[in-house]
Amino acid sequence: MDDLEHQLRRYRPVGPPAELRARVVAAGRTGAPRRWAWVPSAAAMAAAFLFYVLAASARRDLTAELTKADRYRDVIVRALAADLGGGEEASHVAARLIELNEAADAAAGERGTALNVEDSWRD
Amino acid sequence: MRWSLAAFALLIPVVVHAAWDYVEARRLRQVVAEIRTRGEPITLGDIRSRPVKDEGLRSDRYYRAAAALASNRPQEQSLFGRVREAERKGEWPAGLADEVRHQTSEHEDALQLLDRAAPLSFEGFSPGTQTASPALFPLARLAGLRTISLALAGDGNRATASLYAELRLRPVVEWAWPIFRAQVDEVDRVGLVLSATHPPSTSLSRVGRALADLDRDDALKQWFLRRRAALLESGLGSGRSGSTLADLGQVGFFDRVGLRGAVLGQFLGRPWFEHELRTWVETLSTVMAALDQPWPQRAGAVATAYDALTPPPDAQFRRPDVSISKQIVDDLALVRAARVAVAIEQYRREHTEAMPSRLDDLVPVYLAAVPVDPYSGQPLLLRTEARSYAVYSLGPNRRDDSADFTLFRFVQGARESRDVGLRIQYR
Repeated sequence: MDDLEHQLRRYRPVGPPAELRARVVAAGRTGAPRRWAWVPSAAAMAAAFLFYVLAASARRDLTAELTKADRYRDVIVRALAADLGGGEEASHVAARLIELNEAADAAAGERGTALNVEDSWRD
Repeated sequence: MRWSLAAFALLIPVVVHAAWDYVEARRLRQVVAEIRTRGEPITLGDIRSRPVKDEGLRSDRYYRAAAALASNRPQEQSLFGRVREAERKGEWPAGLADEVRHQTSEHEDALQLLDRAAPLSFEGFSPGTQTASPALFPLARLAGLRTISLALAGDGNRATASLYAELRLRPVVEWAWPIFRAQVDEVDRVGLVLSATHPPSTSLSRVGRALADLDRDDALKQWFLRRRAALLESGLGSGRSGSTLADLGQVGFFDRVGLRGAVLGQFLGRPWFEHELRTWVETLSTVMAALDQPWPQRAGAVATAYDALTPPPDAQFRRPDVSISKQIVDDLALVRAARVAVAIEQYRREHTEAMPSRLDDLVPVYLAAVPVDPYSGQPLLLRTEARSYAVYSLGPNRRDDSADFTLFRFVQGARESRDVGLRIQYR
């Protein structure tokens, strides 16, 4: 038995060279920083994204305050719809007319109101 | 390694900007929420009523139609300038009265509609009808010309009716131009009508009621509420890159750096813009809190509140607000003086043209109480002279200058006299 063992031991593969472990460990050490180096940038991007999303949400709340439906608008639309004969179609037409007028007001406001006020002061 | 460091370095300002953006947006939201909690208006839509009753809808239509018919013409502007000059001097060059009469007869249709609208309760303009707003100014001028023309002709009844329509038009103009302060020429005109004509007591009573409607003790606070609402509306709404930047006096800066109107510029400048907006809104809220004081402290409260702020706000914020607040107090004093003058004339009509010995004699038949002078906190003063009498407030100098209404100086374009009030000539 001992002979057999002895014979086998002669053909057992030898272990890896002693410096291989050191080489592998060293390679692992140099690879890790390359991967982790991008983490701060990724975190920064995530933080920026998060802040912009939160800011957008805060701003949405603000806009909601401003665009709350004009409580009188519906009354006017209903009155106009009644003048137009009532019914669903008249309601659509009335709402559309009010929208168009509002758009015209906004455009006119941007174009000419400042000039008119200036004129009225100039007198 | 180097690339990741470079990317990180580039991202740092982005993160800082994003954090700043969030902080400013949140702070602004908080300020707006506090305003809402106090039950104060955030936008002009919260302030502006809309017509819902039949009477309100009719006045809406009449005023719009009248304004459209009175639309501006260059020659009228020149005429109005000469008329204003004549009113100030109290001298009417030959031919000017005829010219005024001719102009008003040319626009009879507009004025008839104005007269129809005047007694109706104005509840605001319908949504989508503000294109008529600029034309309200020529309509007001036209109504003024008519009052002058009738007063110069000595037609007391019709002059007071025209004056009544003018006075009733003022809140309409204010509705359409909530933060614009036009001079109260129509109140000055009360003096002309009462001096040049001899209107009956019933006509005077109507004018008195219209003046009482204009006599709002909280006028200063209301104006600042509108000012803040307009600022927030244009700052947070569609006008973000335009009107509010102009309000904040920063258009020049944005033009210089080529950012105005650019999407990137708006994006980058947003937190700064919101910071400025919030600062101004907070300043206005602080100033408004000072307006709950009684008269006469309230008359100077805006300037005092601005001076007490730390750090002191930029002069571009302070100057126009202080100037307007003074104008509002002057207007209030003038409206109150006009109310008293109308009450005195009513008293005279019913007491064989005798003057009341003191203003308390007018209470309670002609006035519920003698109006308070905003500059003294005391009742307005009456001064009787040989050919006239004057009702007046001490004015911004808070001194009795014996009813001196002559132009003393211009303060940022606004007329300033030593005392504020009206002088009525006896007839």
